Amino acid sequence: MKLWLVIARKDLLQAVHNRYFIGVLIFSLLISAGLSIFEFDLPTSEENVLQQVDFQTLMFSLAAFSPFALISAFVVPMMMVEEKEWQTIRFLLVSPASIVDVIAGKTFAGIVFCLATSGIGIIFSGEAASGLSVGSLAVLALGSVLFTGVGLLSTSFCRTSLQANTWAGIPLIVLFFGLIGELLPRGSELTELAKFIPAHSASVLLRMSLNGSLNMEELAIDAIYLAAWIAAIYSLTIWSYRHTVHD
Amino acid sequence: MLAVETQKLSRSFGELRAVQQLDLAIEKGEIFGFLGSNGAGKTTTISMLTGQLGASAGVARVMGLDVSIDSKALSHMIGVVFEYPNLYLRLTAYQNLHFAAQLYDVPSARIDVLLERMGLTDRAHDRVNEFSSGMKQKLLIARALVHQPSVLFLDEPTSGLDPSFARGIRELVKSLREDGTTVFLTTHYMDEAEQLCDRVAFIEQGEIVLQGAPKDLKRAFGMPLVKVELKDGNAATLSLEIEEDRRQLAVWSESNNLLSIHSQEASLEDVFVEAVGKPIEA
Ligand SMILES: Nc1ncnc2c1ncn2[C@@H]1O[C@H](COP(=O)(O)OP(=O)(O)OP(=O)(O)O)[C@@H](O)[C@H]1O
Ligand SMILES: [Mg+2]
Repeated sequence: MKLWLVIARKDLLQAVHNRYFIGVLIFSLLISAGLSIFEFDLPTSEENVLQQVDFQTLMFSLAAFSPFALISAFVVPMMMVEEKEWQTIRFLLVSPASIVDVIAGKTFAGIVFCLATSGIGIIFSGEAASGLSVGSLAVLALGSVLFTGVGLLSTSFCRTSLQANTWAGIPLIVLFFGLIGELLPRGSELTELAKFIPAHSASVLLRMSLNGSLNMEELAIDAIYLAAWIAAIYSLTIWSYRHTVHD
Repeated sequence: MLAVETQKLSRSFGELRAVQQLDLAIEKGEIFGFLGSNGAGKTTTISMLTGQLGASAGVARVMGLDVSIDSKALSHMIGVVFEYPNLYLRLTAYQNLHFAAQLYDVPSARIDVLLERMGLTDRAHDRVNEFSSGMKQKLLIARALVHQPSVLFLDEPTSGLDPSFARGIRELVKSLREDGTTVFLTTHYMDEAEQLCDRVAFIEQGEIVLQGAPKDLKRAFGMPLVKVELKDGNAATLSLEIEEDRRQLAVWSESNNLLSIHSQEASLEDVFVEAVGKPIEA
């Protein structure tokens, strides 16, 4: 078995015995389910900014990505910081596993947590999920890689769970801001800012895949933008852990 | 080829020189003891030899591999019993060993062998956070042996354990010699080093002050002493190398005051005090 898979398997096994993780996962699930069963009946005649987006699919994308944000803030960092607190990271590093194996293992476990919670949440969502395609699943997978990477990177310098829990809140807010960007009034500076947050691209891509309204140009831009962020985040993550886990 | 070899190995933390100019040459199959007070640089040395910490200067080779270059090959050669019991507390003993076996690509049949050897078979499926410190230590050793390493590093393996657990661990270390495993162990306990080690080195403030076989060190450093009990109830320890002591002995002998005379060998502890200038501080 690949070393990163061995590490991911161990982390998934540990999660089963971790009440805190189970708590966050259940909470994420409830949020996801809660958001997706909402039915909105918007008066179409009204001059409502919300009309301009397909509100139902927006809610769906929020339902799908909210658990990612929570997992990225409270589960993923803990997987790494516990290895430091318990000094098990030392064992990993004298074993044949490298820091890249460790990061890849945690990422894989993070993806599993994300997809499992939002997957169950989506099942509750009924109609909006009917548009779910292979493309949407690919976007969800890509999104979970992004959110997990943010969780790993944002707490890479933390040594204790307390520090990690404190710091993880910041990217959580930023990512959420990206997700709800389109609920903000159009054309405002804040809305423009939100568009630069990669979570926004993930959300846009998901809605495009749900609507089947594929605008190839927009699709390519968002996909490339998202992929570039993921590459940058993981390069930085590897760099950061290489410089912080020793001594 | 030597099992462990260092030349002028050094490590500083800012101004602090934790390890300085370390020259070690440990033969294969040897049990080598590294003795020193708290903060002497023992753990730092192990961290460098096992590739966890880069050296500030000098080179270190373990089983012929440069520890700063061949980390992957090195990992299969070495086993490390850490100072702190860094186990996965939420997992069972078996799961901890299974994880290690998978990392080193060792068949899981090895796990049962190790659990048996460590006397942990009954507790194999209990979670490690329910374990006593002695049991954790045994599991830590089992994990380090999962891939049958050529060199085993033990950082204070018996610290804080009750005498019977400590003896069990010493027996185990001795038994490793029969497998041809090289053992590098650090300790505060002089008796332990004396019982176990083929050779010891004393480290003080990052520098080796003395090294050699315990027997040779005791001979070279210890003074021949005699312990004298007197009929009047007093007792004294005298050195045969000191003229005044010899005269005193003669006086007691002539006055028929001697009850018994026992020769007393210098202990490793005495050698340490002599070499370092103060007793070891645990
Ligand atoms: N990561 C680090 N950063 C700064 N200083 C360090 C670091 N690691 C060790 N030191 C310092 O280096 C010196 C040697 O420490 P080391 O842990 O090697 O001692 P030791 O011999 O293992 O002691 P003990 O018997 O207490 O385990 C100490 O003064 C310690 O404070
Ligand atoms: Mg130490």
